[in-house]
Amino acid sequence: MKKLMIMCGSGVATSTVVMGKVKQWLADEGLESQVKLYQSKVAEEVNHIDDYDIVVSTTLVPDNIKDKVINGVPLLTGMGSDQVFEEIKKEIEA
Amino acid sequence: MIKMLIDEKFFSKKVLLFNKDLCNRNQVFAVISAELEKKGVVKKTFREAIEKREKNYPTGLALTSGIGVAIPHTDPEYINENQIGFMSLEKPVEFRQMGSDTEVVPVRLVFVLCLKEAHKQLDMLQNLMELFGKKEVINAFISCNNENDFIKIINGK
Repeated sequence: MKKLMIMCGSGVATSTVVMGKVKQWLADEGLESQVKLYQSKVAEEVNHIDDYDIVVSTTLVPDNIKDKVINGVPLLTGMGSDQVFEEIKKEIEA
Repeated sequence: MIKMLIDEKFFSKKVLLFNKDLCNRNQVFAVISAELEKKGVVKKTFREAIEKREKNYPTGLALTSGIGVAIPHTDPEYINENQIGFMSLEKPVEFRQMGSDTEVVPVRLVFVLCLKEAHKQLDMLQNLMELFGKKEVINAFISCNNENDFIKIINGK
């Protein structure tokens, strides 16, 4: 089971929207049983980012963890969300 | 059209400011924070908190329609009640793009999300994002100049 962290600045607003979109997508793809979802704020997660297999963020993250983080902003606006889901899928299957 | 896009209760305090002529982000925050505070939606500490929050975690979104919106928000501790403050801008004001430290977005519409427990507001937040994807709705927000018309837009009329 992969651990997927969804985070934003406050851990309540935009990450909630992204969480809803990801949940729906996982259901549509039949991947629900393969992923456990977490939600939090960036500040609380920067130091244990390695606890998760996949990290999606709607806010900027520090440079040292940048490589690990998928930009989730397209999931908010819907512009380019397919690419984001593609990236997440790749990580789930990795 | 879909009915009840956003529950009217989020705008019950009528913090709706139309076609404001402002020069920068901090003026936007000053004007709307004062209005939110006057109506009892937020605490005195809100303005400082939202400015700081926006600086660290920008909320500008460039939409397909070419128009920028911003959804500033901060932690629940500064909020008295669930509400959304709205401001449209006569000329665009620069906000930084969400998730970026370099890109800027010229913003015409500002929705200040004052939420006490956002995880319970998923439908509202999702509907709001959905609205942002509709060019005709965005244009309606931009040309709207009174409370009645505004409420009609969020009701999908």
